[in-house]
Amino acid sequence: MIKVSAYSAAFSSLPHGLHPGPGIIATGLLKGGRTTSAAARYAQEAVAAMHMDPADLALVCICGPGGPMVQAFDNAWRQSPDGQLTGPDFARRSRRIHPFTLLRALQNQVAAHLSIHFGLHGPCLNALHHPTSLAWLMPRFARLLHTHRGILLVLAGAGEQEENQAVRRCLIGEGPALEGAVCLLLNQEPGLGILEPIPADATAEPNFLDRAAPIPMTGARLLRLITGSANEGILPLFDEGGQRAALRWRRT
Amino acid sequence: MSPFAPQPVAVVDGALLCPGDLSWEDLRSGHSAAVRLPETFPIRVGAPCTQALSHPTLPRGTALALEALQRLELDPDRTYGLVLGLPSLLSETAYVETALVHRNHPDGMRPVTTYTGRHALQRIAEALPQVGPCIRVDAACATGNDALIVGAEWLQAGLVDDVVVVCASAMLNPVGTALFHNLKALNDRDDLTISCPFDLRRRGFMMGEGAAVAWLSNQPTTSVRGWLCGYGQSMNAAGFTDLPEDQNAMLSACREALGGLDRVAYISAHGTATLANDAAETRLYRTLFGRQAEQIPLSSIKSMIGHTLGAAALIEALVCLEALREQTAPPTIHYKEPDPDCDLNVVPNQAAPIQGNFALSNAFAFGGHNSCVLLARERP
Repeated sequence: MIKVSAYSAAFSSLPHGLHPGPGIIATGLLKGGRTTSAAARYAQEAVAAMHMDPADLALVCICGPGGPMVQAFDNAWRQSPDGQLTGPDFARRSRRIHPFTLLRALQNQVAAHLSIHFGLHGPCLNALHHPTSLAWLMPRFARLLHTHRGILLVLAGAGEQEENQAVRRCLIGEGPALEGAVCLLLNQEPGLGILEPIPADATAEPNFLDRAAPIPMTGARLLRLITGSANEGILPLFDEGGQRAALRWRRT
Repeated sequence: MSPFAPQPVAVVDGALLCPGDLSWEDLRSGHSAAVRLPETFPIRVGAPCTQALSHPTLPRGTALALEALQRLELDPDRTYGLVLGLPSLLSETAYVETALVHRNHPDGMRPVTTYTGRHALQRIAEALPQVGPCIRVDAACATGNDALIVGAEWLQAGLVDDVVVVCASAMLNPVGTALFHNLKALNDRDDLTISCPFDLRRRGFMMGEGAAVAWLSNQPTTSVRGWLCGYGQSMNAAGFTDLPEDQNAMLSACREALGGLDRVAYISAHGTATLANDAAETRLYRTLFGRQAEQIPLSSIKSMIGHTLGAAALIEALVCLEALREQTAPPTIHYKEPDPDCDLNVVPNQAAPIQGNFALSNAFAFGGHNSCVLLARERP
């Protein structure tokens, strides 16, 4: 089990059940920057909202889509004589793709950006896309808490713009739509409460919206448990492929 | 001893899918996978997988990962955790072409939903006989080492008794190469010897593609390929592509992996053939090992297979185990002009004997992510 000492979050809009307050902010829909993805910007806002120096912390990120990316190819695409990006003369037209496109598109963008912006030097792990990762990373959390002051756990994603939103709507229709980042500070000190893995309820049949929920939604559900009035609660975790896990939250 | 001190983890078996379908024997012999690329590419030379690996519906990265997995013989009665490393998405041309046209039309994106976030892990998990926890990790060029570390953590915590680590990269296509080329990371000369790590002539890396898979276990019942004995990670916090003058973060990751060792038999260098990386690595090893650095062979198989990005670190770790098993370091080929800033023993052009039980395999990735693993032939 791991102890949670602090939390913060930055959402495009506050999800149901969460209210603005210390550490929880609504930023509106964020766009990426020259070398920064939209997801990294939410993560930066969320870490800043925690109002602490994270420099000596280990970092664990669980990330969804970074934000809209294909627009970076528009200039090269629109000059194509046959409507295909990689059609004739792509070698020449490709020079119109901004050099920093690769950096914005890196799938470890959030971790890299947080490290650079906040001066994080410790160990880092970046996991992608799957809410169950939160349970499977418990061994990492336990190990790092014996060697580091604490862990900054960040769940971030920006999958509600352009191509990412189109994919989500294609797969699940008008389901839960949320961009943002949730941060938790994990350490050994007495804090808000304890998170521990528990056997997943094999009989519980999640609806498709639960299985396909974006990463920020998983973070929001966890925050509802932490900030809610109940002393205990369960966070079921599902993946589209049928994986399931669960965490129990207990307030201390 | 702390219960959280890493206990050695058995690497039961592994399989490679290298560019040119090169085997360990080919790498030991110094063969190159470099070929000339079609004119649609913005660069002239690369290292593709030469097998006609394609799948009607799967992205190429997923197809390469599945091909590598099929090369491994798993025990069908065991349950495997799965750690997948597959940096991709914008590297897949079909996805970008479709998204440019249909970015605001959900139905139009349907043909490429298999390229998006969650599909790859599910597809590869289906190829395992029985599957336990599954996770997908991404640390750019350090993905392979991070994936090994997560697998080791699972085993050391008893989450599972067997883990399959799969890493793949399929960025050797017009879109993927354009992204790296515009960042000036690639060598774009028309020369099949452009991949020349540690050489004075080096001007960036040659891109490859490929995959690798490793089976880690708490309960190896057959002879093992080797052992994963230590690991370390850190962040430079210096910039996405910068290598800082202050190497403390890189040193920290290496020292954590070494666990007190002051010497190893072999170093698998990150060795990308960029001006900055190779010089920085030389400085790093001199600081890490002092005078002994000159006696430790270090080489870069990227000289032969290019930089396979998300697959590179896992390919290199498995090659390290072969090198330890045969007590032979693979060469750094295309080495012609020594660079005084890279003056360690880079095993130039021909394989060389090594002596010892341990090898250090390093990956220093975009985003300033450092990931190092210590491998052994015999369980220490």
